[in-house]
Amino acid sequence: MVVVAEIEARIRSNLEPTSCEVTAISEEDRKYSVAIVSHIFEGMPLLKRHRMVNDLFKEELLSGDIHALTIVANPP
Amino acid sequence: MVFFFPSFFFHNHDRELSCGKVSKAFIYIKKIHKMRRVSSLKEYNSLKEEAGNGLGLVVHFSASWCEPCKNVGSMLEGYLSQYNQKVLFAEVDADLVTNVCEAENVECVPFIVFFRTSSRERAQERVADVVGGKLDHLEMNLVSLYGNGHDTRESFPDLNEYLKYLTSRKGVVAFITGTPSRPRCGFTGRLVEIFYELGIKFIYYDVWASDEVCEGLKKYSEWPTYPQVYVDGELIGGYDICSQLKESGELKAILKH
Repeated sequence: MVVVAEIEARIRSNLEPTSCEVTAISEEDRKYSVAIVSHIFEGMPLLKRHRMVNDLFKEELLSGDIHALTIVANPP
Repeated sequence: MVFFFPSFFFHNHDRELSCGKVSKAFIYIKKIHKMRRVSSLKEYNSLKEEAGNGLGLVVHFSASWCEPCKNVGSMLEGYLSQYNQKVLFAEVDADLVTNVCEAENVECVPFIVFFRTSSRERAQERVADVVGGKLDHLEMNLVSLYGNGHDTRESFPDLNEYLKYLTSRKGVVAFITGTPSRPRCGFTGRLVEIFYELGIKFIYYDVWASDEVCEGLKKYSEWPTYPQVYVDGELIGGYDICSQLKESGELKAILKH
């Protein structure tokens, strides 16, 4: 079981976001949405940004604890 | 396919009978490469069982008065030799065999149903439909579901080689859950809508067809979810990335390259 607060905490401690918004699209279906703004993403291709976020939740995504993570990841 | 003649055949001196045997054998050989014209529900169900020996079955619901059905029929005939019995092709006259139409819930022509042999019980699983004579959708589904007839998993030495082959096919290859006409996930449905809206030609792989591919590709690509979209072997991303690239106006150019 994954909670919104845990997702947000992990993003904050790893990606130094200036803004971070996590919502449960459907808790039952284990679908979450994250919108992250961070300097880390400057000059970084879109695929790499998404992969960086996915990697934070690799175990949960592979185990199915998180079915889908909808990601918006942009530099400021 | 190998034919075994009874041992007495070569010792039989009755020429007429010999000719009869040969004729029947040749008739049988020719017969199996033809479009199967289904005339009853019983025959249809037998055909589905027979398809379990191969990759699947394509059924074209048609009518003699239907002009687009002729184009569909011609196109499907063109695939018979390529798939060479690994995929069976059948035609159902919707005016004459109404109980098959009812069994498959088909109410218009041309209507093409694609079945895939389930890896677990060899039963035919209905996985895709094409409503109307959209020849490009016919081709997309044929290539996506049955490959070229020879490029199944068993032809590759290991899973990684197979995944490399699947992802590196020319053009846009989307690994999705279900098929464009029968998606099993909202993200798959929405991704396909984007492709159709932008007129992007693509082929797909339904990861539900193989647990091995479904789990293996996540590791191979280091991308943990589906859909996954590739262009000429390069991972572009999932639905989110495609959606955002579409919004920024970049998706079409990226997928065309």
